[in-house]
Amino acid sequence: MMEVTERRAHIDLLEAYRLNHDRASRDRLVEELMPLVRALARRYAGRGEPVEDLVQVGAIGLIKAIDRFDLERGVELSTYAVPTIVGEIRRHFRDRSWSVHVPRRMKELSLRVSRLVDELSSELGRAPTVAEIAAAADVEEEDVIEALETARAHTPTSLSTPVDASGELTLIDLIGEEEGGYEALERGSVVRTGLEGLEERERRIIVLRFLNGMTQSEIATELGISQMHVSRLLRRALAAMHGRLDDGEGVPV
Amino acid sequence: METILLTVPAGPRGTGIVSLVLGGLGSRLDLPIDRVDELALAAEAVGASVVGDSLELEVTVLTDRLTVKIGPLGEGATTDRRVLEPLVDGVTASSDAGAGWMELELARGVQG
Repeated sequence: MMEVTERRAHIDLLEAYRLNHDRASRDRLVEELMPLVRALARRYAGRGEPVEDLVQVGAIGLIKAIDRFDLERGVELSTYAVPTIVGEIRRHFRDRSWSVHVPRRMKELSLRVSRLVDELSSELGRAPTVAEIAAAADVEEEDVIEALETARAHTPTSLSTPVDASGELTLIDLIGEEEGGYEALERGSVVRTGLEGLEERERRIIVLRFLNGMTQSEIATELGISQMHVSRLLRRALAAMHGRLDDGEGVPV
Repeated sequence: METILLTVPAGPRGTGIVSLVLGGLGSRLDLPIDRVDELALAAEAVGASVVGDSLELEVTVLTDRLTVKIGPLGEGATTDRRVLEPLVDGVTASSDAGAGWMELELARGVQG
């Protein structure tokens, strides 16, 4: 159980960071919460990734959690940070897991292409073309097309997939709750029938894309995941919606 | 104008080929990958409603856009157009010889 003084110190540091943009306060918070990151990273030891790498990606999750934490939430920062830290660690593993046999060369190129897509999207302000990715990766365009298809064959991850050892935390926990899209959904009923077929927690990505009109790149930034991962989640959600609509509850074309 | 006709097995294997073809075409037309990805996503969604063993695809490349016609779809196929519309620039349903067809349209140009 966290001491009251420690909790107060975290709040003070957060306020100093938020109100005065005092980065030193954020760095102090990161230092104070690094034992939590290390403890979570150790849970994933022995799974083929060096623990120090897991600590580093976990630290990125911690910084994201600090940046997103809402002081009005009424929960501890450390409690709030756990799913984000675990999510980053899981993402690290996910980026290295494949549902089908893929040659090593193509796995590596696919990971590289996935990162270049995000980098180029940010640089260009739009998604890149295959030619642009090929130029950046110094490979042939055909290789990029194959790598993009390979990335789609990459293990799809449900938003409700547990991301911690206890199975209580899911990817959606990383995403947060506050979103006006649900109200829009209720008002508009645009794709309500299909959405009802999805798990409650899988709806948000559909809401962001179809009701809020965000692009895949924007959703990726919002959720802190890669554009390729958004693409995979959209596929999964649409497939689930299709299954639901096929049960006779959809709107005919 | 250029036309590509393709018949593939219905189901995930066939729609995978459709995605690959659209990916290659998108590359040649220099379209951003997210637009091509969403066209492929829409094509996959429609392709899941195909009746019979084969999915038929007709891609027409025009100077300002490309169209992708997919079928044959069963009566009352349940791919909701309102799900498809945010993914592409146009969706048109038609029927021909007792079967339904869905035509998806994507404007060319990097910004779409």
